[in-house]
Amino acid sequence: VSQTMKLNFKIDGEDALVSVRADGTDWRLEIGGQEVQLQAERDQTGVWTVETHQGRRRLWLARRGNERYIFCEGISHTIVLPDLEHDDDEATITGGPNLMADMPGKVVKVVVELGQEVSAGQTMLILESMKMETEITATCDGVVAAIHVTGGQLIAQGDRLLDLTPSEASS
Amino acid sequence: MNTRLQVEHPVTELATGTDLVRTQIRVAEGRPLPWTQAEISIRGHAIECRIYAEDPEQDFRPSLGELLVVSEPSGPGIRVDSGVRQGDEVTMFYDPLIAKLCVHGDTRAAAIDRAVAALKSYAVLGVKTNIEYLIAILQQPKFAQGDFHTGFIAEHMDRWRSGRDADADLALAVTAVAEYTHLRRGSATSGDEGTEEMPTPWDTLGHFRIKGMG
Repeated sequence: VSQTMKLNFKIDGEDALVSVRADGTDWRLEIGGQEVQLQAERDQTGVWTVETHQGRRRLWLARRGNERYIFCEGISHTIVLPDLEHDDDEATITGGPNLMADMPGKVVKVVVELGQEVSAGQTMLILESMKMETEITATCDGVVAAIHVTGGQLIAQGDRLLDLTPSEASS
Repeated sequence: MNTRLQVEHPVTELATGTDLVRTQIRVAEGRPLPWTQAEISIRGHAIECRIYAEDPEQDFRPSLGELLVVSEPSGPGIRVDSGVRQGDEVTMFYDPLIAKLCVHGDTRAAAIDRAVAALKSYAVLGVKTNIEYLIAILQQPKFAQGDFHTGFIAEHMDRWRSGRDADADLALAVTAVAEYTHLRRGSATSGDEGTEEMPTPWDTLGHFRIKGMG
């Protein structure tokens, strides 16, 4: 049994409530009280082909933060998702020497080793979110005190990645 | 003599079958012109549409930001001279010209139809563009008749409004389907929407890096 998902969209500045559920190969939606049934397929280049009772259309879709952009036959739309996504596209690091993930993603590689001395700006981890790789660099000179993740691991927002002991401010 | 290349040179090239840039370089090398004026004839009709990152609903103000999607049309009689690629940024430092879409057809009507079809499959996402506005100009009956002048925009496009309201439900539907697919996969997995079963080139090509990140 497929579940119904309700989404509060804002399209081109107007509120729109959409509910969607999968029904075999079809999709059943309710948009502003109107029922819509369609088939949708996304090809390898990311282009959607959608078939409704009105015919077949091709749509391009892009995402940035909580915004979605749609292009269909010369016309563009901007749809905003209020609560679903984090506002920020990239995995950013909340300050201090203890690094935490600001966004769900995957650890591509741990570049440093436990006990290794690092200098500010040096790459320590490579993360991936939404198909974008982000290098996590040391916020200060120091020694790697703990590594909480390994390559290939999935991480959630707020997960602790790595601890850094700042070196003495001798220089 | 004015040795500059016109910004509309693709129109001349399409209508005469010449390559003006190549010819200009040859001439600069001291070689003679490859043809005489008498050998040049005009065939069919060519139209150039300049694709701009600008907002027709905000007085054509430049629309800045990253080009998340750039998908250029292609096919017989379609030529795209473009200066940007997907992932590039439209900044305040340059003219927000994205590309020149040039089409050729045997008749004016055929060239217009071709231009409209090409614009309808010219997806640019991440910034506002004049694509819908260009289609509206091409679809003006007076434009089809060749009856245009410098006051054309003021006279015929003054009351133009975007037709996106009529299209909104389809956009909402596809976005909902894409989000559903994306969220059902779990937000902790990497990747983009709708690739659940099928490996995409992005999965098999390995990791790529966006410039300026990290």
